[in-house]
Amino acid sequence: MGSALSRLVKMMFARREMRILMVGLDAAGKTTILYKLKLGEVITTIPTIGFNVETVDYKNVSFTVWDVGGQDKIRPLWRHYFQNTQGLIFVVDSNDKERILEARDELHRMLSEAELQGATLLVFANKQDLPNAMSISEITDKLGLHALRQRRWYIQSACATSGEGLYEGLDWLSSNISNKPK
Amino acid sequence: MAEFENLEDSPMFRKQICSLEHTADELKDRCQKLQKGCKRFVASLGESYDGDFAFADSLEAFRTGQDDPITTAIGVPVFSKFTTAFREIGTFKELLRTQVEHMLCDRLMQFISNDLQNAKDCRRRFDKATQAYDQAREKFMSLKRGTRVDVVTGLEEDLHNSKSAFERCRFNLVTALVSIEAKRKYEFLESVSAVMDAHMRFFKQGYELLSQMEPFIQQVLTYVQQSKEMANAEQDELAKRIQEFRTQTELASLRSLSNLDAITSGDGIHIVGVNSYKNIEELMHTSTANGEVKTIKQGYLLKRSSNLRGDWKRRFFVLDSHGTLYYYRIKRNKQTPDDNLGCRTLDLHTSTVKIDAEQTDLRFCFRIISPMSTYTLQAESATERLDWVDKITGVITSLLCFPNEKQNSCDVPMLLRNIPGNDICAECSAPEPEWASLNLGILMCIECSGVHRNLGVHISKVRSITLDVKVWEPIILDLFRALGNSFCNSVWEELLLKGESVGETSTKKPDKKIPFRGRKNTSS
Repeated sequence: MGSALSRLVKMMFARREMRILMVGLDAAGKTTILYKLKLGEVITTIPTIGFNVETVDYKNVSFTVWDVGGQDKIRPLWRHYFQNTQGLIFVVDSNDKERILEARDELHRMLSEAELQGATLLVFANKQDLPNAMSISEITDKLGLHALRQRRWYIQSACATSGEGLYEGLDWLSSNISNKPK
Repeated sequence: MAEFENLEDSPMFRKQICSLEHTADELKDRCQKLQKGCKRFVASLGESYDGDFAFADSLEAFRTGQDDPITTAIGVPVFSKFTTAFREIGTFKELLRTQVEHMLCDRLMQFISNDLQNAKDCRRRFDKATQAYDQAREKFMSLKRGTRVDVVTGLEEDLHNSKSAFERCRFNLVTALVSIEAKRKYEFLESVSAVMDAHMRFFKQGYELLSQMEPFIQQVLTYVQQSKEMANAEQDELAKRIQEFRTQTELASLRSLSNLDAITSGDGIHIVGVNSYKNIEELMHTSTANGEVKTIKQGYLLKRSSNLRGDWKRRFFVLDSHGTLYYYRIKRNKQTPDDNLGCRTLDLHTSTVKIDAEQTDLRFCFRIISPMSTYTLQAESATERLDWVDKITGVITSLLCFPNEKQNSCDVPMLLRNIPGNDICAECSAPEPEWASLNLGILMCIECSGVHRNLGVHISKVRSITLDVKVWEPIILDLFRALGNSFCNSVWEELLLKGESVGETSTKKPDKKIPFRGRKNTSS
């Protein structure tokens, strides 16, 4: 009874809730970002087979972040997570020049999906601490972000291990997602 | 005819008649008694016939259609065969009954009503005729001399007539009595022996019928014996299984007590499921090859309902080797128990398992989360929860690693593993490595691959040999064939101190934070 009541109260005075889908090529650092946000520490990750989901509370917004594995065979499953997604976080390994075009293709393929039409896009240019990391402008170019029309997007340089840029990204998301698209 | 040697009317003649009449009366008495007995016998035969048929009918009603197990086992409908036999025996009995009735009862009745009655009638007529004759004679004898001639002749004529009538009656009576006497000698004997014969034929028919059926009956009895033994064996087996199950449960509970500390202290976020994954993958692989479904785990879990109250319901969950997780929704008000258990299936392809629960501080909870829905479940113990989480995670991993093998013309994992040294992880020597470093040309386990990824792609480019497909082009495969774990490690180990191997250096480090190759590359 008590739990029912507390649920009701929670429903009535709920914080803003946001459903965030975090994708990107394998080894871009999605899981590290998720647990850095959730636990505030860097954990030893292994490749994600399937997905992780955590609720991250930040500034009165409750982000439910779905972190989906990036291996070739798992990518077709991404579309199962599109429904009701308000924000899309696309994580790029700034150090991986070879695969930036592959990342671009995946990003654009996803953005053409009807279910993601209303979703805002945040790109984390991750692993900025590594010596040969591409700059923000270079990544913006290579990903073809300027070509995006009718889409709110933002690119944030980040370093998951130090936590640099992560909350800035969330700030941008919370102020750029208006209401639930339900 | 010894008695009536002399047919002349005489006291001896009369006496003979009297004695015959006496025997006839006595015979009638006996006949009536016999008839009573006969009637009872016939009635009992009829009842027995009815009983046979009633029994056969009930046997037929008892038989549950054509597909009862005995029929399918023996190949002949046993019960209908027995029913037919009983009906046939009943028919034989009915035949016997009609024969007894016809040959004994009816003839007896006829004897009593015809012959004996006839004798009585004859007697009555004889008495009348005697009287008439006596009167006529008296009248005739009392005539005096000088009576008119016409009167004399009239009386004489009367006398003559009555005498002839008397004689006729007398002979009738004698014939009747003699015929009774004669019949007494053969009639009953004939009837009774006919009845005996009918009985003999009845039993003969029955014997023939049943002896024809004898092998069949033996067969059925053998079958019955067999199935009895089988049932006993099954019962023993069941008892054994129950015993086994109980010991298992006890062992499990003991184990859960001893494991509890280890579980609660463990990190449990990522490593869970990796251990059992190999076994489950193998099981799922063989089962998809065979097409049969095996249950990986099943049991009761408490499930929090998705409504606002969020109350807990006990549901039976099954995880099978086709990667399906489903549970039964038991509805107690349903009257049909077998077909309407109501399964609800969870799609594990897009699910993940977390050891926690929202909005409750109950113990042993875990969640199965998918984009569509979240199931909050509660196991009955910590070990149970760990086992469920472990197995479901294993199944999810297997599902994702082997969803389809249609585009793989050549079997990349097999090919890579067959390269010398590639049967174990290049870093920690764990068996069956599934991850690879493209630029280093080695295979490694998932945990070491995590460490490699941390180094950055300028040091190691990590890919899965099962989950990544595009990257495995012929040129890369050629590179791997040229390198391989054994060769690579021999090159890198040159730079180490003598006697130390790559596997040893990294396994010595429990946290694997800095693998061998990481140190090597950053230092060079």
